[in-house]
Amino acid sequence: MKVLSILSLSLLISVSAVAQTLIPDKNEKGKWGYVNDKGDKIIDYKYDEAGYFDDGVATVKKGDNYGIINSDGKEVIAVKYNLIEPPNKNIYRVAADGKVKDGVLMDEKYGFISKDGKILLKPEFEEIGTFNDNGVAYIKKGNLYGYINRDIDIIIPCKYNAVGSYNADGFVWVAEGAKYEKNSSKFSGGKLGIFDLQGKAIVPLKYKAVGYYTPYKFNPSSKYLESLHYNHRTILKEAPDNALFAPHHITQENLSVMPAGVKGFYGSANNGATKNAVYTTSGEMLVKDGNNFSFVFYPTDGFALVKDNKSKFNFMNLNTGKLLLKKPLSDAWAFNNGLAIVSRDGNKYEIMNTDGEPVSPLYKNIFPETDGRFIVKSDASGSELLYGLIDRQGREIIPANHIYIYPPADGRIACMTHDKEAGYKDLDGNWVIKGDLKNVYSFKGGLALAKKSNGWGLLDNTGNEVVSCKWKTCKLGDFAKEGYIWVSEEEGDDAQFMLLRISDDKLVSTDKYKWVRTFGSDFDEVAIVGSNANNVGIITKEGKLIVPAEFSVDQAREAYNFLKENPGKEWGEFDTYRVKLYSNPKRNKGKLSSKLESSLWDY
Amino acid sequence: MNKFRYLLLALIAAVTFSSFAGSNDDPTRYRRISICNILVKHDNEKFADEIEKQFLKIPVSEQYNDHNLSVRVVNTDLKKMKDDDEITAFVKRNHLGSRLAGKWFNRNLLDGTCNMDLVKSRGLYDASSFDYEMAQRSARGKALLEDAGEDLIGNTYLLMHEITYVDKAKRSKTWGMIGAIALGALTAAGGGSSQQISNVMNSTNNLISSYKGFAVKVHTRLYRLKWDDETSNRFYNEFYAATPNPEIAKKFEENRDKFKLEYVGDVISKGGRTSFLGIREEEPELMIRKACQRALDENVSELQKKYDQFRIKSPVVSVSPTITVNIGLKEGVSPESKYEVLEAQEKDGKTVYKRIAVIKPVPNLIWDNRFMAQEELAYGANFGATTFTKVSGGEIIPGYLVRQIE
Repeated sequence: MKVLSILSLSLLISVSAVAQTLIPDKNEKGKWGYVNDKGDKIIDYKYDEAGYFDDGVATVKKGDNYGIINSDGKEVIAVKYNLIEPPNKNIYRVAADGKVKDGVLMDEKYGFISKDGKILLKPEFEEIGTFNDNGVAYIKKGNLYGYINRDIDIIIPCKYNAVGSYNADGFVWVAEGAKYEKNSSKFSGGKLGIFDLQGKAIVPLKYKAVGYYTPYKFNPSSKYLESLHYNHRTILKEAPDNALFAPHHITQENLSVMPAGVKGFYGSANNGATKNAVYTTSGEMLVKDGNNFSFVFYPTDGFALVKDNKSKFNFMNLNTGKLLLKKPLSDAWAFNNGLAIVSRDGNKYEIMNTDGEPVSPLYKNIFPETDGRFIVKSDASGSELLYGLIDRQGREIIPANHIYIYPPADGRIACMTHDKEAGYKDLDGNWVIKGDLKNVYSFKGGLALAKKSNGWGLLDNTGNEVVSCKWKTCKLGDFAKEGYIWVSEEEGDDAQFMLLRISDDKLVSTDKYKWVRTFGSDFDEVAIVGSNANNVGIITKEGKLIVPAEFSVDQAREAYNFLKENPGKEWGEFDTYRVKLYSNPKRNKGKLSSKLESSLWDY
Repeated sequence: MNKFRYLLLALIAAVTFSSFAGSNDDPTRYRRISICNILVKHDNEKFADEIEKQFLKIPVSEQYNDHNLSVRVVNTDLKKMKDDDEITAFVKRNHLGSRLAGKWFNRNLLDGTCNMDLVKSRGLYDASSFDYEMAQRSARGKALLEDAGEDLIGNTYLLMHEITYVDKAKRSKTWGMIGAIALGALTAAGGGSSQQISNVMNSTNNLISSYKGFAVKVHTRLYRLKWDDETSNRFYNEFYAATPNPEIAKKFEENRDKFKLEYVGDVISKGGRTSFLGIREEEPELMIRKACQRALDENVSELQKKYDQFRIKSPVVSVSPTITVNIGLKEGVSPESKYEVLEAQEKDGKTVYKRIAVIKPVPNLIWDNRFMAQEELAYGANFGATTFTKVSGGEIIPGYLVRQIE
């Protein structure tokens, strides 16, 4: 029996909460038991390992097996488990029926036992996952999966070939009866459904395809934008969200987790998700499957936008199940606050109300609503496309004879008339800023880029020049946030930019750069600049080039991060050598049998 | 000389103990061994690319100085290494000794300039005092260099890790997968407008089933940088240039073979299975990192047990109410291990370590600081340090260094 030092004793008193302090002790034969603080044997020396008591119990080991004993030495959890993990809220995860081979535990099965020895989940599961933020964990028995919660209740029984991961809102998809193809690592066939955290089927397990709806963000692809006229592009980019709820698949190629914030679900008996049903997130079926539609969108304002197998659109009244229009539409957006943008003939668009009646005249195109206004595109002037602004009643606020109109921003509408008169109107279509304006952009944060006779500058929302309108070119940016603007005395491809401080309308320096990114694009306090995208460096707001313009954009970012980690360091030629080297993948491709090129080494 | 000795003693005392003045207030700052890790990749084996990707993410443990070079991976298609010859031949052929030495002096490959910044910083020398003594070419300055040589530069190691996947066929059979991060691509057909929908999301094809039970075998070979008097004198006299000097730069290139790495020994990890516990479903590739990092850490701690010179010294963090040191399972601490407590002392201008006491870990208070121990909810993962009890010896104060003895 060993004598314990005072230090150990005081430590143990602070660790143990039991009335009698029990301390693991090892005898001459190498067996462990427990003694009290006087050194008297309390529990026999019969264990191969003995843990300290914590909250009245201790883990012990005999041979390859673990168990839990109480302070009377009684086995609360029998010493027969391959593994007993530390308790989490008085619940132990245990493993049983495994074999130890070459020091590795194999073929074990997992389960849960409570602190008082009650089996909460019999150890018959090959795997039990980690409890996630939702408080659920997957379980796996054989080849089948299910889910449990932190109370160790089985919320989804182990009978599914595959399950997804619960998303942040507590939804998961499951598959039953699917076949796994080892070569492609995909599964096919089977039925899919969506469950909630209580294991309730929100979308019943009977579909070949399931997916979800999210609000549609009006965000046309850059490829699409490239094909458009510049003004149209910019208008499209500034358009807001629209209430069209686009479908998203949870494909069978990759087992996936849904994003948070989905609006609803769809389910289809067809692999192509056609003739789909529509469900709310609480499991209410809004539209039955097996309908006649190629696709049903998530309903808005009591109507579901539907697409038939000829790619024509209509609106189905959720209450009556009847279609709104006798003749289907060539194109349509979902209803948003009682109005929808539709095209009957594929050539012109109008705004339609929930009675199916037109509210507005016909236009070449109509853009999503902002602040109760719609930008419209008209071809009334023949081949030339012109823009206007209408309200929710279809009345023209700004006649459709403008070369461009931007969506309202900061209560101002940037526009240019057919007569090339540029300026800003209010939401009622009245001029609020005009005069010697040749070109204008939308306001953001109280500043707008505008061009007068002498050049570009920045205006505030009363039309005063915050940055003098004298520059041939300016770089667009979030000026109010950045506090700086890149300006140039040249135009077009010859433009080289200098840095100007907005607060006092002064150039920071006269150094010029052909290729610039705004402050805040990559780092708040510096910007990336150079002669082209492959020869850039880092500039501060004081105009100092702290990393030479010799790098790619990614390398420049790395170089700046290196400087941030080494404050006070001045950039040197060798630093350039190393940054380029560290981003060169060739340095890790060398052969063991060879002498590597010296240019792959940094020292 | 006495004044210099006193200064050196004060300097070393100041940086060794926890009651630091000035900028060295951190008691965990101490002289560490410097290591360089290189992966020997069997590029025709299963999961070789995944292993490489995760290996490159594993940082050098905070118990060591990061002395990595630009080359982190070398590739082989050999099924099996014939002894250690191929790897040692690579080390020699590519003059890794000279490169590790060059890094100590921040040697500029382009113009040959060197500086002592890293030596000063890792040696915890007072920078201005160090510079002064160097400039004076004093005996103390010489002693400082010798001290830096023995205790710092001479404690530089190269670890060549050969990592291969251990195919646990049984485990990889079960395919059922739990969520990857992929989201399905939007279908343009579902769009209600002629305008294209642009939200195309990328998908990944991680096979979680293969990652569960992922196991690797790691064969680590240890080399030590030879930094004896002959090597250090030659370096300072012939290859150290404070300002650009093409001749010296060229001479160094021609004499790289003078800097040697000596083979110390090797260990092979057990290839045991790492639990999937703590791995989030949306990051299954972390399983590979977990398996690799744990195996690497195991090998490093085995090497420490096997080779005295590779044993790390860690500072005592506190002594009241208990003795704690920031080492744990990752460093191979076990209930059976014992540690000596060392006081750094100056002797003839150099640092020597004197044993003050012997301590051992309290069995149930060993910190589990292995990679992802916290995510696993492993016992001891939140301790922050291991608690020790004194077995024998005198008074221990924070800042004394601790080194394993058995």
